[in-house]
Amino acid sequence: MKPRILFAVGALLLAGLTLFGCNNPDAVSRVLGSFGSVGGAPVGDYAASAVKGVSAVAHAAEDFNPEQEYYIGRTVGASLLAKYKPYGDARANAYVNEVGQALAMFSDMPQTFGGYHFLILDSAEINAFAAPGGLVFITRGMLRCCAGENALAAVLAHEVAHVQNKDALRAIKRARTTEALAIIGGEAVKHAAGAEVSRLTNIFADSIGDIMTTMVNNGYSRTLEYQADKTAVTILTRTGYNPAGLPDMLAEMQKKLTPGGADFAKTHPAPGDRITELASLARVAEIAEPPARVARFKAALGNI
Amino acid sequence: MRSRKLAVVLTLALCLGGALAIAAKVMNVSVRDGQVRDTPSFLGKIVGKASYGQSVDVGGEQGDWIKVTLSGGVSGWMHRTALTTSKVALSGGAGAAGSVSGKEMALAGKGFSAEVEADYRKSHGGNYAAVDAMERVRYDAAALLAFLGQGDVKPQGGAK
Repeated sequence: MKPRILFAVGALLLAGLTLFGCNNPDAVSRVLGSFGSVGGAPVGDYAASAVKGVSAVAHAAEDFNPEQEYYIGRTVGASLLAKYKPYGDARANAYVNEVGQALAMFSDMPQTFGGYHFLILDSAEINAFAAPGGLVFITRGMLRCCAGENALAAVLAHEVAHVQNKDALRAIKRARTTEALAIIGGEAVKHAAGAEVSRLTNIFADSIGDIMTTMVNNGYSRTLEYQADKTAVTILTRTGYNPAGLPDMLAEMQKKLTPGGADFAKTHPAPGDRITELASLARVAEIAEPPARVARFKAALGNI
Repeated sequence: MRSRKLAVVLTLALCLGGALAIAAKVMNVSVRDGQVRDTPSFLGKIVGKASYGQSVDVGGEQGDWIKVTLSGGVSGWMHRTALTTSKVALSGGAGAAGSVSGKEMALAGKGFSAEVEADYRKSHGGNYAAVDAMERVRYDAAALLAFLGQGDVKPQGGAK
């Protein structure tokens, strides 16, 4: 009997360790949590896709702590803003922040180190970017694809999804992460000395380069984009927006995109493909938005 | 049969032990300005603040919310995503210096930090002023829910 008991105890211990997630307790609890509720609401059928996203990301998410993610995001933002000018209309920016920050609150990652912040870029290009940690940028050209607040919410929810799924961080080459973590984790160095700082700065610069190349030139994989669309549907539904805003916006974008253009035409799957991929979750629909919503969208973005 | 009973008791004890270890653990704040609320909701009144890297005692959980007690004795609820079980590194001169243990401070100044950003800026530039301005735009949860309400946007389950 004794060996059997030992075996049983051992197996249970192992199972326990796995369950309680010694490797990544955060990911485990997040996955469990996202099955639960947001503001007491059942998440329903959409939860599965979000959960898939979260678990797939657990590994990359562990590499950098929230503060490092924040500093990477700031510099990605500063690089984008050296390339694109911020759009100066305070009212328009406030409105985009209200919609975006409200959506972020209903994501699986409502809190980040520095919080979510949104900014309109003064460009006719159809584009949007999500830097790590929650800095989100959207061009005037992209806003012109949005017929109303539902469509705007859809674009922003897609970007929040990229933040939540940590997609930008995945663009960093594995070797850089390993090297950075070796320096960061080095027991001998209590405070980063000059040499370490400059080594870290080089890795930092290369990492920013990786992200910018992916974000601006190559785009994420189709899989990550479709996943971000699915996560966006979850976020929209929880927040109370009709998720049909997403295919609606994509249909409008399809009309406006110039084939071969250096914007979403280059970095994202064709809008039509995204609509097809979304078909079971959200359909293109004529959405009659409540008058108050129509009015505030027009007041803030009517002249965009 | 006694040994089988013993096995059952042992496994039960192990499982319970595991659960208790989870319930009675310490977690670390993973956001810059952690807010402790009196109810497990973004609408709960803020009763305390906890800075990045600060340890909190975990006393239970409800959905996505974790019941915490701060070192000063204040207790309340923090959202799960504002906490981590990993030890978070602090950058040198972070505001939380007074509230963390020496062990945690040993990690200070490591990693991508304000120091690395400053070093990077010297050689690469970048429009950080615009990023700083962007970060100043903040709305609290109550204002955002009011905004949704004014636009007739109804969160699932209502604004709890």
